[in-house]
Amino acid sequence: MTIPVFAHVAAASYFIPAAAGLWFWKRSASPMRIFTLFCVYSTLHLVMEFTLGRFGISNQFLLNYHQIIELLSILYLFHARVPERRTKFLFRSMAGVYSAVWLVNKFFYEDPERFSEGITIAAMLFLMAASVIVLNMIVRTSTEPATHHASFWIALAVLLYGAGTVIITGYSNTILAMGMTAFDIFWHINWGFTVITNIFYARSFLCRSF
Amino acid sequence: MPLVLNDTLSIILIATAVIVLFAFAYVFVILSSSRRIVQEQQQRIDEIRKSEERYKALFENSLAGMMKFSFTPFIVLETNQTILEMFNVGTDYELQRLLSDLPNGQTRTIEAALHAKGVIDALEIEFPTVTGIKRRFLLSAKREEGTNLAHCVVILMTAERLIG
Repeated sequence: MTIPVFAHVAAASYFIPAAAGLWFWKRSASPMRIFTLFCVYSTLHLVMEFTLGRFGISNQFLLNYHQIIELLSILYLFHARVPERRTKFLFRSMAGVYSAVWLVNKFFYEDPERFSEGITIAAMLFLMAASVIVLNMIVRTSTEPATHHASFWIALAVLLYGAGTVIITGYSNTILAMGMTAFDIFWHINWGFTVITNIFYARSFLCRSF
Repeated sequence: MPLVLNDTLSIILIATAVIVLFAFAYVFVILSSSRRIVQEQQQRIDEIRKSEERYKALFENSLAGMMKFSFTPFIVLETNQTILEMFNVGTDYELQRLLSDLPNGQTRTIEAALHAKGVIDALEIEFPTVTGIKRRFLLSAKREEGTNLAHCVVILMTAERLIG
């Protein structure tokens, strides 16, 4: 099976935020440094996926680890950004509930050869809800345009990626069962949103205020 | 092999399009609100700056002597040119030295009145100038709520008599 060109573009886009994060490491606030580490992890994760794929080894199980790391990293960043104690508590609760659900799924329901759709959708919905809260908070409290804040670009990326891919991800096993042509076409949407997300992530590192 | 869109695939596509549309609409609303809020805040800052400039012009050009001071301890914080000329001094510090040591315990009277009532209404004060001639002033002051700061207006009594 040949890998479409756009898949390579999407894969290459993972390097952009990781490189931007490392470039601006010194001036970044600590939550942004955690986010940089997440971007670096995502790049390594991608390299591992490709390597395993090349050797014909299933890489589905890797995706099941990526969700929880992504959710915890981004919720940590959002948690650091919001000033209200109630919202902080909500984000902590979201992280706790998701971790518990993820562990239960991991030990009792997960098939390492299959991608866990349910748990991925839960992560996306949690992150989308958190993004909406953060975007509202930025607009409500900021004295400068929202686009001047790193957290705005990250929340925007998370929201758009979630909106664009939540249904496709939820039905990914169904789409895969319909054949590679269907999978290829639908996954182009996913790759498109991946590129947008990574550009927005990289853009966030250019902001002076977190 | 061409892809035939069955019901499931069509639903996935349409649902994705609808959610993306909602997300973009939400982002549009967020950005418009952000722009509006920032503009409103900028307007408010401009209004405060203009009001500050108006107050400063009024303060600087007033024919009455004006100052802002802390009465415990006695420190002159801001003055206009008129009050410096009235007391024949060049700087805020010289005025402070002069007012903190008024004869006959007048400084303590000012301090006590501001502590007790928060207001001084036309208190007559006098002090000898370097030429030996006593000058008399009417001093009114009001304490800033919850602080040791007061705003004060001083009128030279000879000038007042001339006007009267």
